[in-house]
Amino acid sequence: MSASGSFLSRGNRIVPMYATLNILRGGEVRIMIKVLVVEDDELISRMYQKVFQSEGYEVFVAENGQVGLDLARTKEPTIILLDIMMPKLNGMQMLQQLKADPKIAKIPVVILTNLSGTADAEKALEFGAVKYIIKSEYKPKEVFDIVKKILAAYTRDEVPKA
Amino acid sequence: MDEFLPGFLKSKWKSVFYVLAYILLCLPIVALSVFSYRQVYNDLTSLTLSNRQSIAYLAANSLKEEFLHLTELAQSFSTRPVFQDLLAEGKPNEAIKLLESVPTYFPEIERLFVADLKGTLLIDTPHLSDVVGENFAQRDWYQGVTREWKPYVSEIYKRTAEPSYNVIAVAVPILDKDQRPMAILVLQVKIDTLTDWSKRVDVGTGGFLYFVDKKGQVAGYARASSEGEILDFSSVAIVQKVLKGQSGIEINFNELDNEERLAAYKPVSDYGWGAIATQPTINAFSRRTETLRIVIAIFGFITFLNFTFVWFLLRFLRIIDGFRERQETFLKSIGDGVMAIDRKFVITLFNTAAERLTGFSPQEAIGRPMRDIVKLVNEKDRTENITFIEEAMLFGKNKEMANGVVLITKTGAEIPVGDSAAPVFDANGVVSGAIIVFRDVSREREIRKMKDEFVSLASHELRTPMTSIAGFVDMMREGRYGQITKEFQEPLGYIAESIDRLIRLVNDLLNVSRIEAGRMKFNLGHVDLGKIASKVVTELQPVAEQKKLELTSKAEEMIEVQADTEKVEQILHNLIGNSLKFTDQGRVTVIVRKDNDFGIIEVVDTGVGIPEDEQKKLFGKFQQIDIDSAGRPSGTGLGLYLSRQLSQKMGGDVLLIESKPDLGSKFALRLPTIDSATAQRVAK
Repeated sequence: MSASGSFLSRGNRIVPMYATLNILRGGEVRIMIKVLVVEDDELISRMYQKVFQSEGYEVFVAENGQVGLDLARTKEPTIILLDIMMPKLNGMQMLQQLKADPKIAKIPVVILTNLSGTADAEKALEFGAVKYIIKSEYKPKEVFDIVKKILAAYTRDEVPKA
Repeated sequence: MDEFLPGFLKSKWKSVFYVLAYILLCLPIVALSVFSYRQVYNDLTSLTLSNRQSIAYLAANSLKEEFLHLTELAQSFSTRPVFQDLLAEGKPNEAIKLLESVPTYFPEIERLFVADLKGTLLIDTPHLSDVVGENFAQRDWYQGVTREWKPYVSEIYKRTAEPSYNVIAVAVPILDKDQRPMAILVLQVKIDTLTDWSKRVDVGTGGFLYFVDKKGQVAGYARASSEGEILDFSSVAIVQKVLKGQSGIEINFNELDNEERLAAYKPVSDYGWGAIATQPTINAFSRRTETLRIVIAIFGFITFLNFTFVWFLLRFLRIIDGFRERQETFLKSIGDGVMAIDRKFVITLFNTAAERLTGFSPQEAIGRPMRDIVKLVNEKDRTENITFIEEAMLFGKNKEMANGVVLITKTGAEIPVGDSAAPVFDANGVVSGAIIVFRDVSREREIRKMKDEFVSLASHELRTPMTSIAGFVDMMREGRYGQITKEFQEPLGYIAESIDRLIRLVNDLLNVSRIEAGRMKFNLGHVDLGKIASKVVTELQPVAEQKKLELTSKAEEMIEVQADTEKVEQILHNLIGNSLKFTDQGRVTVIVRKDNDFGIIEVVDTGVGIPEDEQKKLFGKFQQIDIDSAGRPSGTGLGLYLSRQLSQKMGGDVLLIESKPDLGSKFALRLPTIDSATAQRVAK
């Protein structure tokens, strides 16, 4: 995302994209919000895919961290929902590599896991995740609401507290 | 732990030690007894012997005196001028008449006679027939007196005249005017007379005395009477000795009487006779025997007492020693480090396991300050952590060691340790020290970590399928897969409810596992009780409305406690949720108030109440109490257990204040107010 990139981007910041999105919200042009779900459990990823798609979002699914990183680079998702326990490259490792890559470091990451250790949550937030959600404690709709809230905050140019 | 024992108490020498101790302790009394016995024995023996000797001396002297007396008598008769004159004139018959009355006055003299210088008997009185004119020159008395013409006491002989008694003769020369011998005067004495004399000497029980003449013939003794044969003892050893002029005392065995006799002998000087006093040894030493019997009784008793006393003393010592030994063995066998300290933290006891853990031997450790040997520090900040010992001694109660304490060994290595300290009380019930037990918990830690990981993994694996079930059901109910008919809404609702319960169960289990492992993290901060109560009340308002219950909260004042907001919410959700669940009509009231150093949230309902016998089960794990729960959502049975555990970890508690069936219950959550002593202790 160079300075001379698309009209939706300015520099390395993706904030303008949301600003544009905000302008366009009531307008006639619809910009598709892209959600990347990185999740090894097929049923769960299909579940989130369903809820986000039915809300009108574009959803990409990756079955492990490695695929997730590739998709993050190629599809430039608006937000990433990241599981932790996955084969090959787990969520924590992917998060670290993601944050290490300036091209994609700014994409907000929401950890969606069933690991409920406080230590895991703290570690994830330390690595730059914006929110740590225990899957089993939230209905799909609630997860969608949280994601929507986070994106809205980004739109207001605020980084919400986790 | 042999080094704990003094060398002499090591078991293989122990028996030897006790036997030696027994002998050594008893020996002085035994020695004293033997010494005293010998002393008394010797004293009494010599006393007895000298006593017997004196009897022999006395007898010899008295015989000598009698002989002297007889000799003097004879001389006084022979030197009477009338008697001498009559003899000189050749009128012995008339001369003897002068002496006729002698046997009457002197009964010991049985007969007198006069013999000429050749030994021919001239005349006798009292007169006995047939011996006048007979020559007796072969008689001992003749030979004795004519040897130097001096008075002479003869040996014992049987006289010729009838009755032929056994007699002795005292012969003296009768001198003329020129002092030349002209005849011999002989006094005959029956040997029975000597027996009378010997009787004057007390010879003691069973004893007797006898005299022997120069030939060893016996007189002065009942069996040696004037009649019968003359007893000849010349072959007896002591007779031979006394006739040689020896005196002494000895023990002989008398075969006739079949007994041992003690015989003392003494020569009768000037006369060639001897006196012998004998007594059965048994009688002679009767006093000695009697005294020794008393001595034996007394010393025997003392010795017996001594033996008994020493025996019991050693037995007692041995029991104590055995007890001590057993204790040492127990201590030695304990796999955990055991150490005792006194009030000043100086080590007084240190077992093998403690040595293995610390690297210090008991010798090195005992008597040293505990801090030099057993260094207990917090793993995180390296500060000393012996609070549990101080508290054990201060409060007089057992105290557990905190988690995360490591022991720094002699070599500087670190071992994670755990366990506890217990106070030691003296006889007055005052704390005099502490017993500290510590052990290597590395393995336990490892296992605990593995268990945590397992629980964490298992719960993750359980949650994943449940999440998708719950998610899909929820989306179906929302109509994301098309319109759902009313008939399907109901069962889908049941599925959602069951899944919800399953998820809560897994979450509760995970929390229980964490809290019990001490891995639950508490983010302690300031919590406004009124605010949090009204927040939870608001959240649960829909549930109350659904059941048409009045749910309200009121705070008397603003109360800030030290707690973890999330945990307090969790507890309140549980308490108020329970009340709503078990109340069918009326209200649930949440009251916030203060009680000294505690902030209190009371949850009062008008529900079914809890019977008294069910109340104590209330806070147990997996306790679903037996009350009317028809039509109520099922719980996990962990809610109150978890709530109490969580509140206690924050220095508070969850309590059932009161409950009456059909009237309702009153639960309370209490938490320490900020800066209170409890809060400060928990914050540490």
